[in-house]
Amino acid sequence: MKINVLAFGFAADVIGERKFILDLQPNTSTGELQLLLEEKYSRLKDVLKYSIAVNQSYISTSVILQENDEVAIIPPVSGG
Amino acid sequence: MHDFQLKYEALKADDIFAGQSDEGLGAHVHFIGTVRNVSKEKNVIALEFEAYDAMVYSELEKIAKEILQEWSVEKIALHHRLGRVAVGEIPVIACIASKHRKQAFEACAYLMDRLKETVPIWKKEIFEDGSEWVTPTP
Repeated sequence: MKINVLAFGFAADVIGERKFILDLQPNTSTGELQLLLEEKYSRLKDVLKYSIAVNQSYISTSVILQENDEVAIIPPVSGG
Repeated sequence: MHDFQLKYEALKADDIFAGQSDEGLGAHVHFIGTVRNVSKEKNVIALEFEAYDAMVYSELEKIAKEILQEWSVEKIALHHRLGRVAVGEIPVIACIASKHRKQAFEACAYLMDRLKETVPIWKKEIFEDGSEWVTPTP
């Protein structure tokens, strides 16, 4: 299944892309996705406490992803 | 009623609630943020902002609901710049309008606090000799 990944701020610099598509096994969870990403981009672990949003809402625990979900990697915000 | 905007051009207090009637409201509390020239003892030239636009609006709507539960205010606005904002320019204006001032002062402070906690906007400090994402300290 394909999902859309968005990365912002420091996370986008580490990954080298702001927007990309990942092809994952069905029933992959956000927790598993985070492990995958951290394995591929080890500096992502330097982003202290980044959050994950699925379809524009923060998630507090790991959730199962669906085809075409939009997953955002959200480093600590610093607006204002 | 709410007026949330992300903009790439200069922010002006006059643009807040533009075109909306508010003759019954006696208080408009504005917070206007400006870019400081020094950070971490280094000279700052500008800030550069980026945002997850769609989620900025949905998070601001959530904060607006929290505000309306806590304070008796009528209107809530937040305008935020994106892209490069030079020293002295305005990256953010928050405004709360209400019948009386006390509620508006408190709600405006809360809006700015929550902006910095959950709204997906990021800034990079541009120094004379490089740049750095700002990571809020816990």
